[in-house]
Amino acid sequence: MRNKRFLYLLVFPALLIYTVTLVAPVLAVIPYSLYKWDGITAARFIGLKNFFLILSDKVFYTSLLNTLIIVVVSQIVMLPLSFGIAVLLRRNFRGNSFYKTAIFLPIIVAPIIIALTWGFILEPGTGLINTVLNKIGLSFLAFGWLGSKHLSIFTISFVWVWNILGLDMIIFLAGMRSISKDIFEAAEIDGANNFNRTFFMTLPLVKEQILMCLILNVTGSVKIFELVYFLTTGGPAHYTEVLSTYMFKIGFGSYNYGYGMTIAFFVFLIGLILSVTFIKILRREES
Amino acid sequence: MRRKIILRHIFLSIFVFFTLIPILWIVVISLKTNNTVFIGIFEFNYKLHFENYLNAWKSFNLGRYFINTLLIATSATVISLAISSFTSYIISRFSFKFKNIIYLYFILGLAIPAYTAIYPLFIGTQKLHIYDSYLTLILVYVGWSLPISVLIMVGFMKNIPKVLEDAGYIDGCNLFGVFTRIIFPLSRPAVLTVVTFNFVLGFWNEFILANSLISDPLRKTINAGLASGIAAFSYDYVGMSASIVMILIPEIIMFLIFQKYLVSGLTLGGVKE
Repeated sequence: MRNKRFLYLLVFPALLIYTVTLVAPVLAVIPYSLYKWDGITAARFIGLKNFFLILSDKVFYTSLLNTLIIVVVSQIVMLPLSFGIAVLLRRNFRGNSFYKTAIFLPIIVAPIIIALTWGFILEPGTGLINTVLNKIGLSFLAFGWLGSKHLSIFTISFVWVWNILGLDMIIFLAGMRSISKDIFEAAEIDGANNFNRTFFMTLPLVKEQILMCLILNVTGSVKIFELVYFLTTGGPAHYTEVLSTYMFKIGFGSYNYGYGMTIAFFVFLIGLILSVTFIKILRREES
Repeated sequence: MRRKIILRHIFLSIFVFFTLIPILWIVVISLKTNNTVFIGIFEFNYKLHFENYLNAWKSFNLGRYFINTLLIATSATVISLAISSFTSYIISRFSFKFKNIIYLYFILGLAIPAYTAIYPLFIGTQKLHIYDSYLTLILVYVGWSLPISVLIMVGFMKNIPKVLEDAGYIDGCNLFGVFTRIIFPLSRPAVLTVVTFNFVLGFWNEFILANSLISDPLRKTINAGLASGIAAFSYDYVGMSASIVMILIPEIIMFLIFQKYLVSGLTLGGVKE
């Protein structure tokens, strides 16, 4: 039983499944990206052409930029907002768990359901928002939320915030709960008001949580697919295209699998960098 | 002080209202008819059309999709749990060469989006004639669930006191006995967290892998099935929204049951009690 080789045998099934279903397919995009292939006729080796193509592909840059916009906008809105709500929910009071549950709830909804549901709300002609705005005489605010050039990607970022805000709130709450009550009592005696206690005591003490939210939000943002695909399909005219939808359309839509996998390779690199960052943060937290 | 409490309730109530409005709105739409769905949205004295739900259930093939999804998600959850818990046990309780590298190798997949792998999986499974197969999809799900599962399990198991394990060996258990009788039962919080994460957030809600690996309309999962229904029922707003509500109900129920474990998983370090 103390035979160490035996141990390798025991972790082998997991290693095999993981390698075959995750690692191998992810790495397979590298050789495939050297080919031009429509999925039917024979693949043609074209060397690094796909990589040159991607560097001059405007839509690829738009997708990259849009993914970045979602990341940045959602952080700017989400971190302060979820921190503020966590501060309000920190103490126990009647109704506390109802609020918490309700705000956390969207996290469980399947992304495709979120997209379809928000579609009913954001639809420019018949959606809830514009109907309400028109009714109360604010028609000038009734924008084409999903159909306009510059606005739509921000609309999508907002829906994304709605989806995962509760996640950040929960992480902040957990962090705040681990802060000792004595510190606050001491500060209260010393005359620190609520504002000071929140910004100069709580905020620095949840630094780790901010970092954790940041990495989870960024990772989640890069993984977004259904939200964009079923709200705007990346349109109008690629204005809301993100990396995932563009990659999806190039392969399954335009049957250019080689190029699709070149894009996948770039996303894989981003994911790998995020994984390494994530692991580093976890390691630091442990020590 | 009292005023502050009232202000807090007002603020939180407004926020909760905005959080829940999309869900409430979809319920409102689902009870109208396609002709009246977008007119008079502030008139609430209309007739409620509960029959929409029955019609949607039939025309969107929901029952079938629910069974498919349940079957796939449950199998993947069980297999993933068995494999990840046992592997985490070996990684966390024994020392051997390359152990840390193996652990790192498993968790490197954490932030890689599954959509990066769909083309090789789509092409590869067709070449190997294992496309359109539940077993393939289940194994792919298991593989993609391993990083988070191993991370949570190893984190938990390495904090279990060694004495408990030794007691098992003294009582004559072998490695497997110690795992099934001592380590696994003691890892209950981590197990429940992993199950919740995988079943609810991972497999039940998954779309892109299911959509790329299953093409038979009768074998699709709920999300992929709904996606193919969008085109077919594009003007059936009430049918679509009634389906959405019916898909939402089990999700909300699961959420209310498993909320606690979602929280402990999200705060990773929290799985320590």
